[in-house]
Amino acid sequence: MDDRLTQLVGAEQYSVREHDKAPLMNAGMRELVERHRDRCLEYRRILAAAYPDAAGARDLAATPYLPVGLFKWLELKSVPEDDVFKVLTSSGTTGQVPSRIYLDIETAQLQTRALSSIVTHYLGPRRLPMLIVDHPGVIADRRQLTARGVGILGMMSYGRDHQFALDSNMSLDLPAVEAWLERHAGEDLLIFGFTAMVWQYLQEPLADRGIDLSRATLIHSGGWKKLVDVGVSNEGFKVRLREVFGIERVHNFYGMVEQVGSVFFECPAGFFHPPNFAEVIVRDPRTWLPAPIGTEGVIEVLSLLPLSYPGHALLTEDLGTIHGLDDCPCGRAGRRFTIRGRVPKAEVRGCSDTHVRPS
Amino acid sequence: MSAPAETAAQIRSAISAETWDLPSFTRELTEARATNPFGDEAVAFCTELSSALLHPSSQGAGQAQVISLGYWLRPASIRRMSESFQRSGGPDVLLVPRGRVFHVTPANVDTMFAYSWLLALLAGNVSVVRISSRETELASRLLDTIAAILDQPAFAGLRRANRLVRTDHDDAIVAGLSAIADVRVVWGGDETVDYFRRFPLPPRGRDVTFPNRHSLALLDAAAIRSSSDEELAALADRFFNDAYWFDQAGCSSPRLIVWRATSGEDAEDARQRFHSAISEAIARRSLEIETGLAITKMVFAFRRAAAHDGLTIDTPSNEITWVELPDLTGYDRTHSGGGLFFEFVTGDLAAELAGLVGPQDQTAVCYGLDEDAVLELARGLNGRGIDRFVRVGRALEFSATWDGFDLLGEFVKRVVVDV
Repeated sequence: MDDRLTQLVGAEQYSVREHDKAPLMNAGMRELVERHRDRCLEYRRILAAAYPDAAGARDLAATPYLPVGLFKWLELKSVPEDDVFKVLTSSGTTGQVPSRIYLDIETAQLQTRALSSIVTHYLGPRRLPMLIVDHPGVIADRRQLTARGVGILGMMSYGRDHQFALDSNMSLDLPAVEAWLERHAGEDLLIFGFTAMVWQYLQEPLADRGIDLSRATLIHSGGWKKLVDVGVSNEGFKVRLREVFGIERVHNFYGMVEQVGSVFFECPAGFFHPPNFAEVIVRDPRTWLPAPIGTEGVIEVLSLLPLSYPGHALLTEDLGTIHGLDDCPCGRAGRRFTIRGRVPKAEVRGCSDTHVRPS
Repeated sequence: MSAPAETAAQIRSAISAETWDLPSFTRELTEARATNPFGDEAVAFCTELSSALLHPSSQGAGQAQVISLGYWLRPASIRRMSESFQRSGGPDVLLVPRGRVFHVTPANVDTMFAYSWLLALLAGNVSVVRISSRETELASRLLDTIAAILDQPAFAGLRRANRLVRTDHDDAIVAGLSAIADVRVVWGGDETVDYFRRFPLPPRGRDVTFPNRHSLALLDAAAIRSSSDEELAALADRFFNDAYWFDQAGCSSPRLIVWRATSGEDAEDARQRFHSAISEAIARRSLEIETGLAITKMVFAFRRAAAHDGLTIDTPSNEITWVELPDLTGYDRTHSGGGLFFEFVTGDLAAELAGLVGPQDQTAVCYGLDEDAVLELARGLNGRGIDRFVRVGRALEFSATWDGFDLLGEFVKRVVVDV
């Protein structure tokens, strides 16, 4: 790992201001473009075909980017097969092609250190007793992990005395949870789970039991679609958890299997922030140029971590808005942004798709 | 998980509130009688439908497709069809309907179901048309128009003999309707065709299948270079219709452009002129491709670029992506749709097409190639592929000769009378 990256990962997160960060990210991106161009045939061909002027890119937004969906179709790696230490796959819905992300040891370690640097920023250096709003089966087979499993396993290293809140039938294991709470009475706690599961399997069954979780920090992720369907907003989610359990510290995070380690945590003011070693650009969906601050567009995520695969600049299929630079009420430096949802799925007409569903 | 077939099988009319279970539906069908080809009622129906479709009140989104169908049905056009139909009989041959036709129509090419159904109707057959449940606004307007005409007392006979229905995705229904079909017409992808082939027809029943096809454009660089701005703009408008009406996902929508050029300079200049003319045609129509499709096209183009050396991708807007191929070896016909064109330049069109063309290739829209040259190409290909060479702008113009055979001919039997 080079000095710049060590510094950015090791430094206190969210400490680098826009003015200082831009040249660091830009230089890092140029190195990664060269690195992957040299080592990944497919990436080299894509650059030649679509970004003939990539070498001259002077600002961050001109960095060639790949649509994140490409990882579902191509095995993109910049290391020899023998150096592949781990392959991450996205769970996706049944029938969807999963993304495959190839990690060597160096990138895997970088991801771990990066995530650790972000999580300790919010939780402090001590590992807290951890309640996982899921069932233990989700991490049972370490070789066949879903994205949910990867997320949980990744977070587990930041907690201790792990307790799964659900049994294999996805119902709340109340006696176990109560025993765990009793064991850690008066301590700071960590609760982790996927947004919709926290809502459905923790909040709903425990709502009327007067349980005090005011010493807990809740970290959750995994999309809002299911909650939006039942009429719950990010704000509504936080208000409800405060009312029911007294939880004050609720952090949503935004991340993807294609850039593990580069996660965007929601600050107390309700904005996502890129860590020191990552950046976010919002692109106008017509011109694909960076959208003005305050204007919604398609989110591109940049990260200095992907050394073993060309995933350093990715156009996501999420819509969001950058609200300001270096001006978040929470005091964190850099960009602050929100996410609204997914780009609507493309539907192509045509005569080769008479719809049948062979039963 | 599914309920027993007998109770699940529901057939709903697409033009009225009627519903049937399978046994009563098939009973009604077997009782309905075929009529003589080009009978008065059928011809009058086509005339009524034509004027309804061409009437200003029935225009709106997708009006170009509706107008095409309306034109295809106007009396002069039906008369020509009838004359050529009668000629195809011959002195000792009487043409009679095959009987019952089961049509399976494409999900989202809104007007397509009408063509194959109306040809079967003109030939005098009893028809069941399975309409896609994924109905567009255009298709439902068309169905409303059809319903209003069929409800007139004058067309009571046709109404009994022609059923436009929606069915559950139910093997029992498909099996039941196939078992009494003299002809089964399947429009759709290869998977759809495979699915329907699992259900037997009666021993003498015939399948007419329209599986996945791929279409292309053959453009002459010199002709484009020498065309005036006005000619080029008109050409671009016509090409736009060919490519964009069905989001470039129709079987006949051109996806690959093969340029005939005598020099690199010729090709470059012609391509540049053509590209800007297409961008202007898109702007004239105010077409906007949704963001999701623009990203899908980007993924698709990048996949292709990753697989071969030497591609270039140029995306002047969300609506259009040009992908120049260094050669046609291993050309892959799968496609994203939505305005992405592969381009290849050659000095020897015949040789390149000989290497490329296969049974999936359906339509070649042509510009700057004269009839003799095209005939020579078609003779050279000798049936290996490309069933239609038509002018730019006519890719989606349906004709009774489609995918290489005569559809009306498929809907009749030939009775020999030689006594």
